[in-house]
Amino acid sequence: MVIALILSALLLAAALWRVEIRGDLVDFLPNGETPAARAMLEELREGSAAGLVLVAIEGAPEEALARISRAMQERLAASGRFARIAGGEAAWSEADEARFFAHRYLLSPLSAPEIFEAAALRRSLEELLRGLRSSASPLVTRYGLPDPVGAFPAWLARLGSGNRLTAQDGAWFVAGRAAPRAIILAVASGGAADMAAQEAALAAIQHAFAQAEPGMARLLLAGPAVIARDAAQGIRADVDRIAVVSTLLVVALLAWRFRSFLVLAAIAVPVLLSVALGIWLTGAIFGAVHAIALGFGITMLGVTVDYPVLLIGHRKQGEPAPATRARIGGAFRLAVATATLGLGGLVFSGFPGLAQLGVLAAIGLLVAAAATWWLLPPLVVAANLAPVAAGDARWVARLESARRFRGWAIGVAVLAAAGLALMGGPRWETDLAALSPVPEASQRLDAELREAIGASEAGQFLLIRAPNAEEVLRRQEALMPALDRLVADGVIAGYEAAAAILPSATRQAERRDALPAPEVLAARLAEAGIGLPFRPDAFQPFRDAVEAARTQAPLTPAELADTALGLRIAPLLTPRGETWLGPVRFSGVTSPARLAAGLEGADGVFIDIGSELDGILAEFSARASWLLGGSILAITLTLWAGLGRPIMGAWGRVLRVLGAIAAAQAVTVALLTLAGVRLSPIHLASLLLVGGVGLDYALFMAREQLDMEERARTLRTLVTCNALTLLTFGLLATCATPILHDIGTTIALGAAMSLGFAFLIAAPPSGGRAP
Amino acid sequence: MRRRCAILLLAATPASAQATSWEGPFTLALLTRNLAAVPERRARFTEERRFAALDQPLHSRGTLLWRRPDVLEKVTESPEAETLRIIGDRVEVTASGRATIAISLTSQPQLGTFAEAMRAPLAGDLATLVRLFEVVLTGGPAGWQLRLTPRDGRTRRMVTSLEIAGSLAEPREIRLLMGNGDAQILRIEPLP
Repeated sequence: MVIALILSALLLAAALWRVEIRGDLVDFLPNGETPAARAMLEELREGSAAGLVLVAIEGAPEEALARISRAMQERLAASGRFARIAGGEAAWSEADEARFFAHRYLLSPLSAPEIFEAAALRRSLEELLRGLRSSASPLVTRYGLPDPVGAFPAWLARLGSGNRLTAQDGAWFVAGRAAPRAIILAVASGGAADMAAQEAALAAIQHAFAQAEPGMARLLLAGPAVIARDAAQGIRADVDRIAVVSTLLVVALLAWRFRSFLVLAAIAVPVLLSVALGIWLTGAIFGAVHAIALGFGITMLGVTVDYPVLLIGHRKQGEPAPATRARIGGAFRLAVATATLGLGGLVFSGFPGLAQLGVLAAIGLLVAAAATWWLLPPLVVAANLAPVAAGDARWVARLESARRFRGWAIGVAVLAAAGLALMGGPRWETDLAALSPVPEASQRLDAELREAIGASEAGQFLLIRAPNAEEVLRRQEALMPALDRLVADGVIAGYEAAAAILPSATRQAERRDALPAPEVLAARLAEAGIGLPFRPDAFQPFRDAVEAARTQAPLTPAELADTALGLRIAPLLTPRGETWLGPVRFSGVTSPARLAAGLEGADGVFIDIGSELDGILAEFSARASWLLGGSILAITLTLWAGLGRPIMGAWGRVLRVLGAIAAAQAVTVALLTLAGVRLSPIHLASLLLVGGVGLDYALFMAREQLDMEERARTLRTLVTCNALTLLTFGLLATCATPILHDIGTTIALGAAMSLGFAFLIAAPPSGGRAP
Repeated sequence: MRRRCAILLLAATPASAQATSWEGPFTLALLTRNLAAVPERRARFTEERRFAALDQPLHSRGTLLWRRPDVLEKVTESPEAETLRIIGDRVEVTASGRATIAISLTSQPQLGTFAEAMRAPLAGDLATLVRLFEVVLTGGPAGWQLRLTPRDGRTRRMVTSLEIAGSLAEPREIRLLMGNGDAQILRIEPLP
């Protein structure tokens, strides 16, 4: 017995050790029905920011932070775990500036033949003179004389200010913060899918911090890899805590009920086996298990403790195991089959996370049942396990007299269903954040740091996909007049696009070929300068620059990558498999509808993250009804097949069992809705579990022609099972993590309702009096 | 603490009753202390700018305002109206018919050095002055010259030096020599 217990515990530990846990909410979501939803999820899942870790150091004076930051950058860059470490170079180095300045007549949106006409040049020179009189004269002499037409500032204006970082002493600081905060950007090599590489990268960052003699400084981390880790840790910690406390309580209750350590060990074996095999097989099928599915699945499989309890609880002292099995066999097999069907239905929910949960639950239930059925009897008999003496069973009759209220119970259930219908059915959750297992503090820090580095997640974007980078840039250029109109109309405050930073090679070549010849420009400048105090050679740098530009090769995205703009353009122009993606991100959207209308016919997919997520949830709530209907149908058919054979008039029993479950579900959902709860996919899964538990109760109650003692055993056993469920899930209801709390309340409430209605409605009308 | 209060009280008295004292050796500390003792200054200025690119200098005129602790305002009246105002960490430039441009000094260290070159002497902020510049003081109370050279190499390539000449607690001329050889000379006529 003890050996079996130890073996199954080891198996569980091994399964938990081996399984890969995902925490990103996106992995929980379906693949999307529309092209826009699919594109959005792909972007969220594999977006170039996926391997990004945002490192913040704070809590010390600026000089100390700069020293720590420099030491960390050096160590991390040398570690070889990162594709990129950035955190100190001047956001805009002089070398970068010189390079872009040299290319100004190819890059600038102003660059066109008109600005080099004599009349336009005259206006430029007059403006220049005004500039020399102003406070900005040092800038005017530096940038204006070599570029009187203002091509460079026009290009700079297009760039906007992407971030709020200032470089100081070789470290980046967030500008405009009272308490200094240094920032390092790290991109882990290996990509988003490589969880091990990301874990190692995070560990390397923490190690580098510790090695940098941080003193009182604090290290804060954010980014997708950190979110994934925090989610996994959060769920693990919550589950661990709950598991320990509820295990203690369950053990205490079972010890009181059965007064035997061996019974406890026997009961633990199927439970541990079911969780271990469930996790292991789910991991094997899906490659990884989502933190939500894992956390919920483990808790959920806690109810498999019912199976061994049912078997041992129904055994008479000294009875051979097959006899016990024979008495409860029918109800037991049906309970397992229907519960598996119900939870297995989650596989078709369309949510990968819920599908994992369905598989985990179905496998777990079957394993627990099989272990109870075949493995447990020899152990039970060997140790001669049975509940303590049933004692006087007359109380059963008194209790059963409560069944005269059956009519009332049905009335309450009908009332609940009617009330629910009047309220317009249950309300469905429309905010996906409610599902997130990530602690709120992590989410907030992530948003804060993203905002500081200018990588905040856009609410709306237009995804342009083309075979190569040049084609992406050309399509964006074709769109830019329409985008500029949207800005002018106030529909959007601005947009970010790769083509606004770097024009396509084609466009650059067009501009280059339109530049005036040196002697033409010299003549026009001379004409434009008549009567102005400029010396004849004042514009030599300008003439030289235009002449040089006439033979320049266009700047390419690859050349941009190792400049200060590399960081800006990387998320805006990325290779994805065989194609290139170029999202155009919008900011300050005043009307998503007008924006969508303005982009009508654009050569890309317009994505409004909010409405796409809403769409996914709406899709789910529509699907959920079908899922529930299908599960109910499958369960009904199974019940009819299982209950129909032995006795005529089986429809009566099927109806009683289903009636008890329907009543419990109706009252539970009505109470939740009344309390203002919005039903999420998690609630649905919980209700399915409640259905499975309720079936156990109803099927055992619905057995006919039992003697008083057996009815007493059933009642005692079911009350034990129910108490166990209430204990574990009642504890869960005290969790702060929203999804765990939801699971706890739903299941505890539902399980209590299920027992009550099973007792009142499912039992045979005669009270099952012995013949 | 009590002495500090006393100085503040003194400082709050009108400019006519300036708490200046020129006793002791003529040092930078003495000069800045006396400059700092003036809570508010108003002056007219004429400015001459010489550019390598132009064959004649540009002239302009207007008024200056200094108010303790950190307000410096230069209002150009002709030929082009423009207001340059430095308050705390902000620089605001308003040219006629254009939107005000506001820049944070901490985000633009070179501009910050430039602004402090004019403001720190007036504020008597010796610490800032010495942190940002190599300072050379010549002359005596009746006629002194303060020569500031930026310590930061990048700033020095833009602004080679800044010379302030003055008499007692009043600056009379600021000479700015740019890295490319351009120069600006600001002549100051204090207003009563």
